Amino acid sequence: MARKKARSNVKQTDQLNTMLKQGEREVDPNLSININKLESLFNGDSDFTVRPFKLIGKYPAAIIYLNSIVDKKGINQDILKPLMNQQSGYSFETLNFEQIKTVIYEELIYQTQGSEETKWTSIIDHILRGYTIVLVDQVKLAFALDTFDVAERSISQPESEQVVRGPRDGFIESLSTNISLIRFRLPVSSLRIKSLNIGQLTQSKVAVFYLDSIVNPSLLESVIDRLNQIKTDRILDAGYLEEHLRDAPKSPFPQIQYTERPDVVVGNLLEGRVVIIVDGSPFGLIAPATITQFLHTPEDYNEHFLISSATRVIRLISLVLSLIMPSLYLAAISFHPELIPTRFAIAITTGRTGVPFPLFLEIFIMEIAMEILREATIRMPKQVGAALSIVGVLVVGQAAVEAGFVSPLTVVIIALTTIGSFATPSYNIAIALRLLRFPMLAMTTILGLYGFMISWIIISNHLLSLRSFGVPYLQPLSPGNWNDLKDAIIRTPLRWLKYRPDALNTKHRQRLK
Amino acid sequence: MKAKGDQITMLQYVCILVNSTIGISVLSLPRWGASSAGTAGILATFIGLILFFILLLAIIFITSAYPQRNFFEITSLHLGKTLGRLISISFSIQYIILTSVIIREFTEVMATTLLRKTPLLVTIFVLVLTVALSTKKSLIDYGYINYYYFPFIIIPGLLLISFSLPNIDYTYILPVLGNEITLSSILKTSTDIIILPFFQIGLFTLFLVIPNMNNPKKALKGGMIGWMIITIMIMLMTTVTYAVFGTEQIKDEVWPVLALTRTIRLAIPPLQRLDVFFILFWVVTGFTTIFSGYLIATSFFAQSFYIKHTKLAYLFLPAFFFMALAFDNHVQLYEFMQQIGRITLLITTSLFLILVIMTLFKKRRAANEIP
Repeated sequence: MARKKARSNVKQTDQLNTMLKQGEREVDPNLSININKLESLFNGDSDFTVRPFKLIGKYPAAIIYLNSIVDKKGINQDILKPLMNQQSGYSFETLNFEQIKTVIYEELIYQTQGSEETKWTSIIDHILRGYTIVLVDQVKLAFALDTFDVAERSISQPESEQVVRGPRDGFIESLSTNISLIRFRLPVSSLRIKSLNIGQLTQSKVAVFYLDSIVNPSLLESVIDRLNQIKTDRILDAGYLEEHLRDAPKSPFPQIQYTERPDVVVGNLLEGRVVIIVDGSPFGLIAPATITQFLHTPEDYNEHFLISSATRVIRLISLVLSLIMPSLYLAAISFHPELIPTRFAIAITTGRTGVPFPLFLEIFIMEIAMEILREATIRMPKQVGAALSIVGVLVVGQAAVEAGFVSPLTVVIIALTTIGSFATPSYNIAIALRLLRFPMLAMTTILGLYGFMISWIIISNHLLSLRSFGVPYLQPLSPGNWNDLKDAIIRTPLRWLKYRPDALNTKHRQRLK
Repeated sequence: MKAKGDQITMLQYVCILVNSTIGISVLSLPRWGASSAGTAGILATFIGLILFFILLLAIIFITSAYPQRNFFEITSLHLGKTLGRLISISFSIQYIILTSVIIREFTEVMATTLLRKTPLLVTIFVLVLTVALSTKKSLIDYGYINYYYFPFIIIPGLLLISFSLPNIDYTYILPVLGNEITLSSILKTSTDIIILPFFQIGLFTLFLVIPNMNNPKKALKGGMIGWMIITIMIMLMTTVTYAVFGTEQIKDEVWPVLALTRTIRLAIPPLQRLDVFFILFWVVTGFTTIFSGYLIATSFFAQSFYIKHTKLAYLFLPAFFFMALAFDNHVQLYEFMQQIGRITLLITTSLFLILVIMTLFKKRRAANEIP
């Protein structure tokens, strides 16, 4: 379907190109020629509307728009009504071209945003973006007026980043609403929004947010540079951009943070990071991102620093455990039973009697079953999901143990691992580590604790060599930085956080002047 | 974005020095002293460390006279390009041999503790591959990696020492000067210790690090801090091992420090033994040393042909792999380690002597030229 649409788009561009080749790049003075040209271009598109009328009751004119993406009420009230008003008493015969232009644009139309266009490419682009084009006979010019209006959902609580204590508003799909949410929290003049169009066919509007007085110019430059270098036909969501912006595209670890929350975006802008939002996506991308950022939630700054620090440590532990727990369990039971006291070892062996698989296979099967369960519950409608999770718990947990399919301890370990991965605030890093759990398990199956340690070293070394826009991924753990450590694994009192992160190399290091 | 700290900081340099020097060979270290000098082995170890410090100072002196120049550039500056290249390549070969010896020692330890049935071939290959993968990374990452692993090496070491303290018997380390020991025999024992390959790997990391430091003037300070940490760790471990086992028992153990981990009784339910966990951290310790050795070998070779060491990472893999496989058992390995260590230390010290003299000579000439 998407491909079909893309193909028809290509066709349209081809048509436009052939038309432009014939030397007709600009608007013709004759209205009917212009309308014919547009009609042949949008041939058969039921959305495409041409509404002819008489300008101030005398002169032939037309408005052109795409029916589905314009605000019809606005067109009626602010464009058609004043233009057709016969009482205005203008007489265009006595005026020259410049004057006619001024009269129409400055005296007749009640519209905040508009421009005068002469080139067909730009006119078509405007029509596709929900502008209304006003063409007047004998005027070699088109007025493009912003009448864009599509249905938006209302601002609601972000689904993926829930907080107990904190603001309840989240981004929506409309870029302008998202901008307003950020502006509302950050009323400073140095907030800059740089707009780009990316994607050869989708021409998606991408906005880059930064605080001019704080951001490191070379960071901004490299963000803009990477955005400009993107060669693709489509950007449908922020995730598409993320993949193009990464320093190491092959790494499973997220190198850019995403958020649905305007308060998180504002917090990061104030620290000197750059935020990228795509029109049509409720997610903002935050660059650069280091690993500790993925353990943070906006609540951390609302609660007491001791509590926040403790929860951050818990999150880190759960993240690490979700990676290593099955491997450690496997290594301890299969390779080094001498580690475990005899009494406990007997209990484990008793639990495993009747299990038809070797331990590594048992763990693998359970892990995969858990992943299937997780994937199923995400995709299911909510009502079915609840039923599914009950079935999952009963079948995979209770019944499997009673049937002697798996041992109870394995179920406990796998359950803890899975819960551990859900305790991480960022879904993308949790999923990266959940994926890496499998190669680690394979290495442990082959080489025991040695294999476990080797895979730990390989993963660590990979993390140590990662960069996000030049910032070391494990900063401030390695390379160490005392200042940045104050808000990494733990959160120190806010009055101690006098400086912006050193890793970002901001223009003004001190938060307060 | 060009990040802050694109060069190695002093702290990272200290970590590199400590991590590379404290290696898997520390496990066998007390045996060398005990077998040839008895209780004077502790003193001999300390003298060995002082010799190590002198060599360390020599490198810092040589490199800081020409900051931002690597080993090949310094040697070719003093001795001409052809000879410089020859020396670099021969040192590269030397470090392939020394590192392979450590790789083999490491896998022997693994074979006796963790993987009793796995063929050495597999363990060695996995290790060499891991190191080669890391060698694909830049020298800056090398600094980050060592900084990150530093606590993994120091903390388990200190824990091991503190857990062993209840088992100490001070009479085992007396007399400090040993029985009927002459100065020459103590010195001989000291050189027996200093020729262990991990000391030489630790030394030569300076040639990689100092030219890439953000502040080469801190090389001396960092070297001193690093040496102090190394000395404290090694001396503590040696002394505690002596004090727990006594010289006679140490002689019977291939890896006395490893035996020390087995004596620890600290039942943390549900675990009843801790030695396996210490071994886990020794994997990190061994890895950092072997990584440094691998990096020295590839870098010295790459420098002399003006290419990046990352290009040689996989190319050098078979050399290390087959060299490490070449020994029959650990007895032969340790004999070879002594012989090769003696030769390489002789070569290294004589080269240092030449370089130090040349540097002094050039410095004086430069001082004379300025009116």
